[in-house]
Amino acid sequence: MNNECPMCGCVLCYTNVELNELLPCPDCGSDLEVRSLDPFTLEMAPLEREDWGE
Amino acid sequence: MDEDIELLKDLVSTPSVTGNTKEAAQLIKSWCISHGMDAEVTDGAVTVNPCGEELLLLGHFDTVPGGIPLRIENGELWGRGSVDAKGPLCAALNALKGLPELRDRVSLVGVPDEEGSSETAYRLRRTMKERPCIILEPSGWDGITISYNGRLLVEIEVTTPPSHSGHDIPFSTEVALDILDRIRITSKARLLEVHGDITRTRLKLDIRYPPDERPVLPQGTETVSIRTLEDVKPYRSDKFSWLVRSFVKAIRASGGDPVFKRKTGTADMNVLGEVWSTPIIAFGPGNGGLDHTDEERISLDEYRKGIEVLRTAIRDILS
Repeated sequence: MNNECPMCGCVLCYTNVELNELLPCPDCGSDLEVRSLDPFTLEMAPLEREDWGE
Repeated sequence: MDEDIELLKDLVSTPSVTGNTKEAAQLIKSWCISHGMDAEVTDGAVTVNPCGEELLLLGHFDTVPGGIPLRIENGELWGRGSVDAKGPLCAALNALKGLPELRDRVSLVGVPDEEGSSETAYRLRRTMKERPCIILEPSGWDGITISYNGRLLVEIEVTTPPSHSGHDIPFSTEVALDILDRIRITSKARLLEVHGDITRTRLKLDIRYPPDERPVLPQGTETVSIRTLEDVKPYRSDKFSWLVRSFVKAIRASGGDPVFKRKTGTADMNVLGEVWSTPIIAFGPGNGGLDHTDEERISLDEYRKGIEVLRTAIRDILS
């Protein structure tokens, strides 16, 4: 399955990935999420933020 | 009464400050048994479905002190523990109630001492076989907690020779505060206690620090002694694990846009994560910003969404 990294445009090829799996872009290191398997679509992974408490 | 709310309401209205949790433990046990689940109370902790070894849900039902009368107002349930962490615990119990076919694969432990010594979590990490784990703490129904800060509790004592204010020799008070300033350059240090006079000063510090950033403390010398009272290591989950994927998927299936949380506090995730190598995340409905405050309350819509996400995620994890 091929798609471009939404951050750097690098063409990525993955096999055996699952829906909503998170993957790092090997080129720019961005965290990506598999948003669809057919058609294979990658988007930026959910953001991280600091949160107070337990 | 809305069945999903019933246990939450009963449990929040049962006071369970750490050290006084027996009634709450029995309440959880009775509710589980009446809903067809095995439950036992051992050393104050409630274990539900003890035979389930594929996944552990770990929550707590002890609370910090402070009575907030139970009430439901504008779709929110108010009360001590509603967020931290009876809400997440009750959401998980209700999720399990809706998954009778998976009960023998998933166990849940409710501990009575997370707000205290975390003795039960330390015991579990020694005695229980490692397994993937969901810590039941508030992340918001669309949040996934992937890290907790570490906590270093230290006592610093400074002694200096007697001196006069007119001299340039610093007092112990000044040296101690200078040490505090230097620690604060690299870490979030809170001053819990300060005692002393111009020749002997003692500080008790609560230092919180993120994964990979160990606080820099001064070296002990003849005049400065450093004593570590508690050292809870920070923990960060692997964001690329299948456990995280299951929660991202479940949140999206419920119409949410997931967000990863890095918590500034500590929880039993730190305790298990230091030793276990299996995936661990924390999840639970509720706004963690209300933990320990007089404003503690949980939105019932959020709570129901939390049950839905947990149920979907557990199904996916064990599929």
